[in-house]
Amino acid sequence: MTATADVLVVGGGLHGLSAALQVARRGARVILLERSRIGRHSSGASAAGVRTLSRARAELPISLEAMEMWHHMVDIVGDDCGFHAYGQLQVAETDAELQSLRDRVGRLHQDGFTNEEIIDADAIRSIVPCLASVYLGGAFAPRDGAADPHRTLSAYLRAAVDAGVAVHEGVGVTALVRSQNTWKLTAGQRQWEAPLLVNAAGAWAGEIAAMAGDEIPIGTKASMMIVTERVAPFIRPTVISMKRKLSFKQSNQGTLLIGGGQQGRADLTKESSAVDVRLLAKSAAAATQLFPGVDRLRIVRTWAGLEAKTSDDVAIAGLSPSGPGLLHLFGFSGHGFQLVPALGVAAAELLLEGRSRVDIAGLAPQRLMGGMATPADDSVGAADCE
Amino acid sequence: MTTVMVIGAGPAGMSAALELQERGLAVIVLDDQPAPGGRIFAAIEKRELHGREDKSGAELVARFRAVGGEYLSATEVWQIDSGTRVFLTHEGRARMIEPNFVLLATGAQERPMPFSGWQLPGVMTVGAAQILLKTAAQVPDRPVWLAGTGPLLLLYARQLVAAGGAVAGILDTAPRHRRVAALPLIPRALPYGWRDLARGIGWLAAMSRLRVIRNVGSLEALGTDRIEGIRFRTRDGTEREVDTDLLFVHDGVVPAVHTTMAAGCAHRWNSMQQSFEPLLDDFGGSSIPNIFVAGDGATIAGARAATISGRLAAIGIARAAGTMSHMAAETAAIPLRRELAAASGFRRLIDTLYPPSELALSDDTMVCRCEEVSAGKIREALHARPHLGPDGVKIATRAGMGPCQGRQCGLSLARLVQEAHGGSRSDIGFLRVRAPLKPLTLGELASLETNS
Repeated sequence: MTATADVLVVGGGLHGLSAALQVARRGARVILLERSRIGRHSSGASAAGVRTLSRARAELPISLEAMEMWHHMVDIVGDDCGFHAYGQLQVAETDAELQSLRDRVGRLHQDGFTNEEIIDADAIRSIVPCLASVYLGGAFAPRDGAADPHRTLSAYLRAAVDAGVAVHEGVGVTALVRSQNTWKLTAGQRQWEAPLLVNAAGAWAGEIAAMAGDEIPIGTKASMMIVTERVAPFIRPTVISMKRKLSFKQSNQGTLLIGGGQQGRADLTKESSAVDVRLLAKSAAAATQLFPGVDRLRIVRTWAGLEAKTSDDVAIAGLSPSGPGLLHLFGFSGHGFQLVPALGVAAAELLLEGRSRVDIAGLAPQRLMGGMATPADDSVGAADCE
Repeated sequence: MTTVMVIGAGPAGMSAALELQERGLAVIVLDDQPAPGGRIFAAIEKRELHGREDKSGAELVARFRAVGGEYLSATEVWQIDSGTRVFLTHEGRARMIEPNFVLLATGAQERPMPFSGWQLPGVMTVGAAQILLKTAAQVPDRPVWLAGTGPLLLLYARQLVAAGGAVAGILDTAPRHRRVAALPLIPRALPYGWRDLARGIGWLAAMSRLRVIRNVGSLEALGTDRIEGIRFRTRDGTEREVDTDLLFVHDGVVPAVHTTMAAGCAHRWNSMQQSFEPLLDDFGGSSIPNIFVAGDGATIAGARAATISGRLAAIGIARAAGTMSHMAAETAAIPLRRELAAASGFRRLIDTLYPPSELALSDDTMVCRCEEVSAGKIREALHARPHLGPDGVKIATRAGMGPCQGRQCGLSLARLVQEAHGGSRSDIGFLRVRAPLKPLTLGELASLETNS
């Protein structure tokens, strides 16, 4: 049995859904294939940070575009996805840290980017009074915030289906060939064909790329999270400490979400990840040091989610240099959630029109293929803070 | 020296610890309760003993206290991973211990019995009521309605009346004709269970003096802020309402599998007992090397069988540790296995007499009490998504995301997945179990770093 479409999307995470949605809205017939279920890995395990703060410069234009879209999410997927623009704050505890924040924000302002500002200790005290007075100042992005990952998944799935995307769960691609300008995908006994293909297979996207003839080296991340019991309103902005590998926020449900990039154990073959509680203890220690009183709160759950990591910690989004009609969309390295709405649009534009309105040249896969990876810039450290 | 950690100081854990000590292995026993005995012998050192069972329990506890090895009470084990790496909290501090062997004897939990209104104050489980009776001599000051099935329900009814309480009535949810199906099983049950059966017949006789409504197929607790009444319907269609502000429910017990699941042990679906249980070899060894399981956490068989499976697992560990030869272990295992086989003959009878109620799950039933997710909401999420599975339902609805870690809703979620899309319960599986398995504060977790 062979089904045909204009565009095939491999991978039912948020990026696959967003690309599928935007392509379908431009009139193309889209089929999305997901090996397990929608949002099984990184998307379902996301802490849902909506952050422009400390973005790599290559990602900044698309991140700023995404930020505008987050502020109008209802218009895009019919739901606000639980997004609140409570801001994101990166605190500096030493003069050196504060200087590096000043340098970064100075360069941003010089280049006309105004999403971040430097604030002093008094200003921090007024917006996060629950934070221990260990800071000298910080960088604040007031329009940043956080969303609800599960609501976002549900909203994107519903919107994609409403836009006409045929979503197939439980379909793992086993073979992929291109002949006569058509991509032919095989999953067990079934086949799918389309002239255009999106590779949004997350931690396994390197394998899909290899099937299509592109060698894109990627690593794996399994960033861990802690969620506590529900408490009364405690904190609004997301607080990030690079030194302590901590990101800390309160969800809409009232639970506290603690992350920051401590890594669990990834197993790509078993398609699962496991937490390493000894490293999670470091996250817990950082949270209890920075937020007095939270030590008494009960932990409800911990988890890790699998995703791809690039060598320069910058996402991969762009057309394949080798196979025509193939778009790679993966390698978000711990900070892809915020980019979802805008990269979906950029992906649709690249596929259907050959170029995107917002410049994402810095995300092109070529940079990682057969050459030296570009060195990471100074903002990479905050990569895991969503 | 080889160290063995026994988790759980109930009949299985205590017997195993004694056997391990005898076989020359160093034992440390952890238990979440303040004193040894497990649920069945809770507070047995402090309370009056009733009958043979209590006496043997008290003896076991006394022997365990004397020669059972190192014992840490009030200790929560909240994660096991990477083989035998055990994470625990004791006196507010978290620690990691990595023994050579782990024996999990974590017992059973009551099977959750969801129905409309089961979350209302005034509705509680018979198991919880019995613990209050045992440990604090608490007797309700007014007549209580009981609903459900299983030996514990009958035992509690008897104990409650003996302690001066009153039973307003019993809603028996077991399907009719089960006694006929059970008849041919009696001969194989007698060698092990004749004494229990005689006791049970005594309870039934006592129950015949109580008001019993049989063949109840659906149940609803009425009220807004607390239970004010019960509406029930028998399987032949009679619907009735009674006023009450106390309803105790029970639907048998199932292995407490959270620990074995966290440890990564393979499990199987026991269709007779409608529960998951770890897959074990004939010494109680799990699919994870050096992790053994005994007692009701292995399969529901009762306290007496638990003491035997605890000893058997201890012998299995001694064999694996090399302190017993293969031959010696096999020889020592023969009488224990014979007794376990007899116990399972008795268990088949009990399981046939008291199958799970499987009450109708109405759309308004709060399947997940922690996050307040109804059966209707879960059915909606499952619509047209055959690959969602229990973990997908959790992501889509928040059911199972709360502090009880799916202990109350896990089996119901899987049941609803099966109802929507078919498939076998063993394929559908259970919610993925996440650390921490037991209550753990951020401060306690943070203390792990400095300790290990």
